[in-house]
Amino acid sequence: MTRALILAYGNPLRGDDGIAWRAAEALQSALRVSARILCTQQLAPELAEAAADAEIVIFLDAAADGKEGEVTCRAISAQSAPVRFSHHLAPEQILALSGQLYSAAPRGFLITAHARSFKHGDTLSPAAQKMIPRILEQVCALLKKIAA
Amino acid sequence: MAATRTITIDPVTRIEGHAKITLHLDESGRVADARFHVTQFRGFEKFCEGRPFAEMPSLMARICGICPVSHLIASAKACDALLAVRIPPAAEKLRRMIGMAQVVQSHALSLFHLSSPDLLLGMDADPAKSNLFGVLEADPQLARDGIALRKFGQQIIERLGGKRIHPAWVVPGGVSNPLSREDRDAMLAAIPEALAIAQHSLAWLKSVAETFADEIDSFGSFPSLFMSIVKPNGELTFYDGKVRFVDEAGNTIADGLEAQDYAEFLGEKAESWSYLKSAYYKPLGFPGGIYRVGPLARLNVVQGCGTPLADEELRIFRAARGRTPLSSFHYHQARLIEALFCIERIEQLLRDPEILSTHVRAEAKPNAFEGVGIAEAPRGTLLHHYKIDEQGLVRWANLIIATGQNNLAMNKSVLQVAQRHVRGEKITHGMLNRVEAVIRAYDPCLSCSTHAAGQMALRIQLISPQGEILDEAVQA
Repeated sequence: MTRALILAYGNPLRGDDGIAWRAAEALQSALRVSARILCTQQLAPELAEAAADAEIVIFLDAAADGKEGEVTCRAISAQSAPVRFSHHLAPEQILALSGQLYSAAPRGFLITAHARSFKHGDTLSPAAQKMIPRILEQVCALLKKIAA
Repeated sequence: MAATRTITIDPVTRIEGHAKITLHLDESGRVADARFHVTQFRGFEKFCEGRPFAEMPSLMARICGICPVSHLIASAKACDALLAVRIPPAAEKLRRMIGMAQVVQSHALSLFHLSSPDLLLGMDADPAKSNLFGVLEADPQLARDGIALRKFGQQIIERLGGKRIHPAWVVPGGVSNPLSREDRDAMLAAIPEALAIAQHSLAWLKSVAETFADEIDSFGSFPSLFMSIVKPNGELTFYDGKVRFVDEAGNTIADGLEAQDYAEFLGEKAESWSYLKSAYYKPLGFPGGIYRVGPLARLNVVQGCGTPLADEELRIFRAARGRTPLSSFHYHQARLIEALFCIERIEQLLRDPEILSTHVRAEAKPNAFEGVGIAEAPRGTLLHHYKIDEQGLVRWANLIIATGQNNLAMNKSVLQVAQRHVRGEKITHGMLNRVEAVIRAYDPCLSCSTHAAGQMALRIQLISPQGEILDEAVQA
């Protein structure tokens, strides 16, 4: 069975920035395949170890750019770009760390929910709530495709 | 009129929060003055007014994502004083343990993630390489050790508090849940690796420090007082004790001071150019009462650590650097000795049968209108002081944070480094990085000390005698 890690990141107290956490909660019950799910506010270097244990890492995030209400998915690869502040890394850097520190090469995917409402608060906007089922579909489709 | 010029460094990088540095030059082009400006403000003390006191630990923990546990502990202790309760022994031990776990993870972050690029790659290294990835290329094992040591502390926090950041497990009267046998055993299993990492990291740091022999004496090296809380027998503690001050020779100049009397011995002065107030030892006035807090200060204040491995490292440290090392470069080694101590002490606590007791919270209503809580945070002594009304609502709060207590020392350190390394009207990377590095040695948490929001940043400006900006460097 494919070892999968789902890394949901964002601030659940900043409106739609918490969409990855909400999606992760929904995935806990919806997933029919085995996957480890972690929720975190930032991508810190420690996550490289968890990524190294996986064959596929799916990052879930919210972004203020792009078309509002759209959920996008793209493959990502390891990139060790310079960082000034080392407890807030990009998904590509987590993959790079997992390779450089633990000689692992998990496949990486970034699923992004394009939202607009990032005000203080722990509730999602109606537009963000509508994106959760599509995030789940994308994750399940990825996992099935990898497992096939 | 005497002419001056100013250099500004903005933002200061690899620290927690926003800051800028201005270096003021005289007519001959030498640095006459240096200021470390903190340019953000949040005002936690104000917006908590009117909130029920029992909410304070969770509210105050939000000040910082690096050391929320220290705020939880100091705040809960202030609330214990409001309740006028003695918390159950197991709760106190559990609080001590989560506090020390945070010290380990925070010290690992400071040393391995933020300062190790300077130590491993040198102060003149290519800025593009002066980061975790640069360390990883040069010494992968060091990078792995840093990550593993931080993870050790974070996992204890997560197991005890339910999550790594902003756990709400420390509450007025104790903690909200007891420790399970399964979690206890899992934490014990992680001890040997953490001890090994702390020990060989110390060996690495001691060897690398020799290559900085030329810099150490101008790296925030000056006489000052040192302050921390100590146990009754003079040993190191992060949770409870009375306040002691020592001077630059290690002589105790004040001892047995009670936290609730802090206003009698601590003063705070605000400057128009920074949101970060400067604390000073009141009997010596401002700025003569300059003192330092944090890892180096704690080791300079205590008689000993109280655990075998840390005590041996403290003996070696003092044999090499003297009874009271004065250079702030030695904060790094002090940090690792403290991490070693915390791991040893955590193991002792985990092996104490009482740690599994299910009696972990004392229940009471407020019995006092004023309470003070004190603890040693990773960066130094932390003090929370609350006043409440008859309904238990907070009417006034004051927080004295480690970084503010090091403010005078950080300014003096920046001036010392700048006077040695700044020449002419241009900012070189080596100079810029040395000025930043001396600030990083204190591991300042500007979000805590100003209770401020935003991303870390540093700007350095070089300013002329006429106030003209001659050069400017920004790192973000």
